[in-house]
Amino acid sequence: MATKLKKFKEIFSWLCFFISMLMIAGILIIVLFSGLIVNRGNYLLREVNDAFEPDYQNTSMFRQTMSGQLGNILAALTSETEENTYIWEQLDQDSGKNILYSAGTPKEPAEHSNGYAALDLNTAPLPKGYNFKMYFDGKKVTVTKDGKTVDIYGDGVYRPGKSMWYVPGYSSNTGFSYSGTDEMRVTLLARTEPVTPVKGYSSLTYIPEAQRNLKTALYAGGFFLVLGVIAFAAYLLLRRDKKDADLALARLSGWFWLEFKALCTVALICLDFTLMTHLWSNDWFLWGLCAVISLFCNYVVVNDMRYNRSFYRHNIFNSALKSYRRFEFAKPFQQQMVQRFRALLAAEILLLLFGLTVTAIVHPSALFVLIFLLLVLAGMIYLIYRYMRRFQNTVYDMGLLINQISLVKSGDLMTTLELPADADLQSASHELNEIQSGIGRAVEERLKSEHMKIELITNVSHDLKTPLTAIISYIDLLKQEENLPDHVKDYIEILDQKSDRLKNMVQDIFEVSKATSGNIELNLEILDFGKLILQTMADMNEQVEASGLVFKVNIPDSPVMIRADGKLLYRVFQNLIGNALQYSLDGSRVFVELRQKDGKAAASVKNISRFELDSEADMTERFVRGDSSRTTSGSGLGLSIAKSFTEACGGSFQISIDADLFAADVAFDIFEVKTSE
Amino acid sequence: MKKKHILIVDDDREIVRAIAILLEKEGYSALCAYDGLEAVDAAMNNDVQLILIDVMMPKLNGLSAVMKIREKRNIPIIVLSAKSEDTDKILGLGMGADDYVTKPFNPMELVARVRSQLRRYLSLGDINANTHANEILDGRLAYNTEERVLRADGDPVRLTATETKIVDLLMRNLGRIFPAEEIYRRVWNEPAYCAENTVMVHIRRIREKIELNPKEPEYLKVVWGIGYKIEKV
Repeated sequence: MATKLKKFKEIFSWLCFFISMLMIAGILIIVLFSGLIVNRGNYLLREVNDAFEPDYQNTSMFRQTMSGQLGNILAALTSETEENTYIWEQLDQDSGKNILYSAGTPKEPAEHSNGYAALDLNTAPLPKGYNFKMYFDGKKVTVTKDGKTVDIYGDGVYRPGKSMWYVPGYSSNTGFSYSGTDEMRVTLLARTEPVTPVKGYSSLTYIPEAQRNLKTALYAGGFFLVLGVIAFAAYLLLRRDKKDADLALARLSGWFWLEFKALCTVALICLDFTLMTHLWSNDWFLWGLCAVISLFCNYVVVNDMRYNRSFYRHNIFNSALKSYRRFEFAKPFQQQMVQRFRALLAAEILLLLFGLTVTAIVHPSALFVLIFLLLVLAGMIYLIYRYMRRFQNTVYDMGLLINQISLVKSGDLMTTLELPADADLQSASHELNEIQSGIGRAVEERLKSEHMKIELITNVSHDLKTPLTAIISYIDLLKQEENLPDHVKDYIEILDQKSDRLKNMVQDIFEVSKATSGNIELNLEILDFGKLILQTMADMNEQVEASGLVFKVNIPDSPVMIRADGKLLYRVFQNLIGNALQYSLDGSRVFVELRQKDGKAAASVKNISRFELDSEADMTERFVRGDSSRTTSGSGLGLSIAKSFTEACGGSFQISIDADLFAADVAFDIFEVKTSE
Repeated sequence: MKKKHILIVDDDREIVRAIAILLEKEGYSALCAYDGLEAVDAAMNNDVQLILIDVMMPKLNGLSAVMKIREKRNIPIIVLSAKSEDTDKILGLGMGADDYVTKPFNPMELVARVRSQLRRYLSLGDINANTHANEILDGRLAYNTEERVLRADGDPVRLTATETKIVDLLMRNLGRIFPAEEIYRRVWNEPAYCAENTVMVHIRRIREKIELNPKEPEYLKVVWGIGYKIEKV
């Protein structure tokens, strides 16, 4: 409903605009062509006066007619040419006798008359039905109407245009230059109401008719003027709807090709030209229709140019190109390129063949052939130019795409590549952008989950530590209790050991979780790898000696400098050696070695396992242990900690199992000391 | 001698009670508080010589409580916390705590730390005031270069001749890192042989005599992969 109303409003407002424009154009044309203003200033005013004058004798037309008749009679009296005798015939042919006249000299008063007593020239009473008298006494004209004398020019000076009396006897009326009129006497009578003659022609009956026509014309003009004004006002009120209508019109007209519009315009100009030259007749309707159509078409074109940006671009050539591109787009990029080159070749050959065929068939003159061939050549060059430009753009886009790929590789996930929608590589760039945003999302999610993990670990660790503190504290209090039976003391001892182990495990879990999620605080320094291993061995000397195992240590005397966090690396070897101490076969040998190779420092701890090793199991997984019974002490996190700490320091950690031989390798890049000490 | 009052603050009442019993056995009298506000209140209104305070507590965070108490009182404060990160420790000490003990703690170590802090607060103040010219001070430690005597919390530490030589070397060069070979050469006056093991054995023994928790030494430290040093506190 609303849309219907809207549509109606649009059309209505547009029509209002168009009508008001037509009115303005019409008035402009009338004003310019009729010379209404330029020629005769008070012409329109007089016409209006005449049209609405109830007494036809007061119209300027009547005055002009009567003055004219007088002039004619005087001319006929002064020179009797063939032409002048015709005047009498003309006066006499009116069977209605709307004008009565008598003309002559005092000697021969009624030399000419049409029934009016010549003797009564001036003095005789007016016959019935006549109320107007014009009398010329040889010098001057006097007019009486209904017995009263009419004031013609009070001051005796003639002014053109004013009241339209065009009679002799007034100074500066140069029109009357008759000589020998002194003896002439002319009397002219006019009917109160003109009677339409049964036969012949009367110049007076024409006046009321003209009055009616004038009135109609004025009413019509006024109506159209008012219509125009109202339409213009309505347009002003609804100009927003009119704009929408313009847009709709532009959409519609934009659909046509430029060539079509150009053709229509040319046809229209021809039509108008033909009308103007050949049909300058009275066929007002046809003429008006053509004017309206021309105005409408002009409006459509201007409107089209105003709202359609692609006014010039929407032509047959571009449309053909576009549909070709659609066809091309369905194919993969490499085929597109080959296809395009082929299409160019085909188009060039076709154009050349067309040119040659046309010149072969039609050759009116050498000049035409030359111009036509030049045009064909220009078209061929233009096609090549378009192809080259497209190719250049594609190569440029390839460069952009390559840059974007390296940008994504270097970790920039924010900058996206936007190629124009019609670019050959548009879809590729779009897909790259999607990959980029996908990576961005993944990274963000991972960061978020890492963050949550750390928070969880911290909270859990805190929640475990608090009760553990209480347990340890109370066990300690129990331990201090005296006079307890021996078996209770045993129990307390076990509680003490197990709570201590629990404490270590909690700490280990916390540390390994932090290290694996990369949230460990690193304090990297340059240190001697060999010395660190020796220090760790020395630190664990008591346990080593108590184990009964033989440690074969092979570490170079010269320092092997690496870059690592000493505390973390100490924990790595503490765990590895502790592992060896715990799981080695009694009396077997443990090999601790440090070797340098290819800029790498590789340390290894090898031992023979007491238990059969499961070569499938990943020993560095958390809580995986060589013995599934889990009777031994240790958190089961030793190797996991060793691995994650090594990796946190930037080293590599590897476990290898060969039957019962267990080997752990820790390798770091050797740090090159520039100035040797 | 008048009993020393110790304020124990933790939102876990059982822990507070255990510590209180532990300290009372050692001859201290314990005052208890269960959140930060109570702690500030108790510290202001009682004659308290030392405060043990937890960090994560309701109402007022332990560290904020420490800052408030520090405005008025200059008594030793030991922070007890489940947070074991270095940054947490640095933050706690920066806020005005004298010591930072991570949970779960060894009760005996806690007692030792309390004793150490109290001794330094109550009696060592005088000794510090009358510093001898030839005395090197480092936190709890004081080494007299003339007498070649090392004191921890004012008590003389009984060291063997070799240990004394090592302590002498490290105390005279506080914070400097000595490789095992250098220590060996300078202490034994012999070319280094199996230096790492030998030095480490002595280091461990000295630690047991001077450190409150020999497993987590505060003074005599190994700088892994480089050497040994006594930390300058």
